[in-house]
Amino acid sequence: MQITEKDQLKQLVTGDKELMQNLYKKEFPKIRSFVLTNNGDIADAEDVFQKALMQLIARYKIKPFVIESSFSAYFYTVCRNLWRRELNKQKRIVTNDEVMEHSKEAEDMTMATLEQEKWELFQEKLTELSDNCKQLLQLFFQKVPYKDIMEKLGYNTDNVVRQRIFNCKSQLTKLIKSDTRYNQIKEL
Amino acid sequence: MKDYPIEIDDYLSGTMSASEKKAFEERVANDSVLAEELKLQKDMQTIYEDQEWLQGDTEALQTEKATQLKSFYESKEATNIKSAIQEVIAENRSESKNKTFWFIGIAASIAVLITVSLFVFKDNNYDELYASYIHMDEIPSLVTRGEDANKLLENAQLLFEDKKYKEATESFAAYHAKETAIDPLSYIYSGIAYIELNKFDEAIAQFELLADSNTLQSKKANWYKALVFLKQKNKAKLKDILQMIILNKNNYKYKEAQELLEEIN
Repeated sequence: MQITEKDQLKQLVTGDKELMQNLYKKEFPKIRSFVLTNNGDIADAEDVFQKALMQLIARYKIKPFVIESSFSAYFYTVCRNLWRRELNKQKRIVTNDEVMEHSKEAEDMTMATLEQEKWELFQEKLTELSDNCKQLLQLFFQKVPYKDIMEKLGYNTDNVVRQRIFNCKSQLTKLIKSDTRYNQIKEL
Repeated sequence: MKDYPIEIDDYLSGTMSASEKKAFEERVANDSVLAEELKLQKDMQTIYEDQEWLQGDTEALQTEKATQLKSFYESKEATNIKSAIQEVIAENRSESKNKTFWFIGIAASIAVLITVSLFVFKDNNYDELYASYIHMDEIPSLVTRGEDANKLLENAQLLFEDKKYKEATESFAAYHAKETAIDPLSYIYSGIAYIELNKFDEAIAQFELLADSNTLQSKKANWYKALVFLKQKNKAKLKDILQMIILNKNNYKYKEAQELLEEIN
């Protein structure tokens, strides 16, 4: 029986093993390939798979939501972010042992979930801007100097660029702040 | 709260003088609203720059949302679900081992037949077919599109063109890890590089990502998967996928799929 993508999450929350098995078959090769090519091993990939699934289930339990894009693409993004987070953490542990020492698993999963939600909120808001703003901000966040942006996009002065970026960034800031989710993750 | 203070940009980009910087930091220390604005702009920089993962402040564990999440993660229910997932993972791990043994068993038992079948399906045929269908020059270039050439991507394509496939796959992997908006063509290049390295599972994974990319390129995924199976000399899987392609005349490489099916039969 084919389960629609919408029902998939609902069904997963019940701990349906058959569905998990299908999901594993379909999604795990991609995750394994990503983790293996980014300094991880199979055990890491399995860990990421398990944590991503737990994260989705936890989020759904607390507040049911609908995945707008394809489930597959969405799940892959969650896994990718979890592994990026893990790599960052490893970097930090090398330089500072105390950071992870006391943190318990549930707390770490909670932090990872909140961070993912924040990431999603920020990505979603960026797509609401005009193409021109998106292009300017993309360059700005990649730390391209105003002067280079001016030349590249044919503006008259770098001050015009600075003002334009300020306007775009203000819009984006406003969009983020006015979303109710922002208040819940402000402290993060 | 219409705008955020524009000085924040100057502060974060490091264009303030030492005295300006000091004065600004003093203001932040005494103004919680400004401090909050600064944090938001900093977070935006980290998330959109897409280099480092933005690790949150553990203060947030005190919030209501965090408390709910944490108590779920600590619940009996979560423990059960977690062990169910782990069982699924473990079963698949052992299953793939069993499959290998099973495969070796079959392989051994039909070893005698192989000498006979060698004359029937000539292996070399598959290599020739692969070479005649791959058409690498058909894939659009990654670098001429758009004005913002991505350095990683540019480099990856150069390596690919130099036939340095191992280095190319590494570069594509780095690009995939770093970017949020991924050029779907990169999956095609990366997948073919894996085929050339005879890493067929990795190649398939790239074309799965292509299929999932929801772009105009997605529809090409089945044809490239077919090429993987062709190079792998996996006749059964090759036939399956070609049959899928010929179901609809509008499918990418419909005609070639038909031809190829005839040739291998």
